[in-house]
Amino acid sequence: MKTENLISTLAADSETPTRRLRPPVVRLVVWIAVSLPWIALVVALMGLRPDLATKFQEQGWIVEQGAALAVALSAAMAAFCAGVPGRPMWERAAPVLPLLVWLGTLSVGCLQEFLSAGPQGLAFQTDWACLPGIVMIGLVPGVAMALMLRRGAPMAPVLSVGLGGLAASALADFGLRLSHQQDASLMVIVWQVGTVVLLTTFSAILGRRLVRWRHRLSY
Amino acid sequence: MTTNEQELKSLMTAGLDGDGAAYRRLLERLSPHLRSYYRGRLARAGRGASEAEDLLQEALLAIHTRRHTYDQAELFTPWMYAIARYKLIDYLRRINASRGDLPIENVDDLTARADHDGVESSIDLRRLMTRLPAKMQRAIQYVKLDGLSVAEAAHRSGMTESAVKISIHRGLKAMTAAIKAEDKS
Repeated sequence: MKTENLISTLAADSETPTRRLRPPVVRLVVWIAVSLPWIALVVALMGLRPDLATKFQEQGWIVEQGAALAVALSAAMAAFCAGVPGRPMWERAAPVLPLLVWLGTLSVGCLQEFLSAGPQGLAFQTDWACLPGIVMIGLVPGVAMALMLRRGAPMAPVLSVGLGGLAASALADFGLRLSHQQDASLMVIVWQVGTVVLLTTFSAILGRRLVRWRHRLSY
Repeated sequence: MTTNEQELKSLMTAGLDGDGAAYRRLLERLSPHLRSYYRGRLARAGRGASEAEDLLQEALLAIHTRRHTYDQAELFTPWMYAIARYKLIDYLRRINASRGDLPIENVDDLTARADHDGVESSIDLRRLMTRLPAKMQRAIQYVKLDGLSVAEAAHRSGMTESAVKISIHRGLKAMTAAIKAEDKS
């Protein structure tokens, strides 16, 4: 096809107003608005942890939850920004700092538990409940994120979908900790953060299939 | 903000609002910029002008299909060039991947086809070869003109066999592109 003919075809296809993509911050608000009711519903069905009021008094727990929430929000914002051509690259690194705070807090928790209780403080147990719990709570945030990312431009599909997966799973972990009584830092790192890492990796692998350019010409 | 940016931005905004004529003018204004951009970049990678035209069309399609992602509050040119750059990198990655995946036994078929194109074009082969890097010239000379085996050519030129095959493949592709460019002009 000649370029002039292609331009005529494209111009003919644009004679009606185009529905614009909203700015990333607005999309973030929409994503939260869609996700929170679902998280609240699933957490309510699973049951709030009986010691929740006490946990709100613990500074360490509050910092961990705040960091998990910050990871979720910053990763979602970064994922939305990555789908808009021409935006600064540094935006894609937004979750790094909250992620370091989250992992740092948990690492400090491990150290404190070791210092206070010795090897017993780092006792390891199998707890497969975290994986299905995070998957269930993160279902709607994850699907909503995937649908929203498909509307953007696939400038960095692996990264943006990976960030989307990180956002949904970190938000789900935030919800899980309102219900699931697992506070030993090592256990949180292995089972909860481990699940987040697993889901983020899985999302990134799906990136190119999920977010792609359409109408590619063949050579 | 430059006049060019202002004009392109206003055409894009009008196009998004459903003004097909403004959108056509935008694409017509972008085409020479993008053509020149791709020709320059592809020439550095040893690729031809016809590929630049294909890539230009891919970029126009990408701009069209993702035009809703343009935010009027931002500059237009960085948005447009981000897409153009992505398509270039994606294209180079694809051709490199396909070259990497190419089974060694198929290389002769590919080069034979390319060679055939060269013969049919009736353009002086040696004149075209002078445009190639010395390494590619030697590889084509030994294998395609002097009839040496790849192993013999590798031994004589001090290159590996893979390097000889790749040099032949790339050299013939570059020559084919040059022939096509001359046929057009």
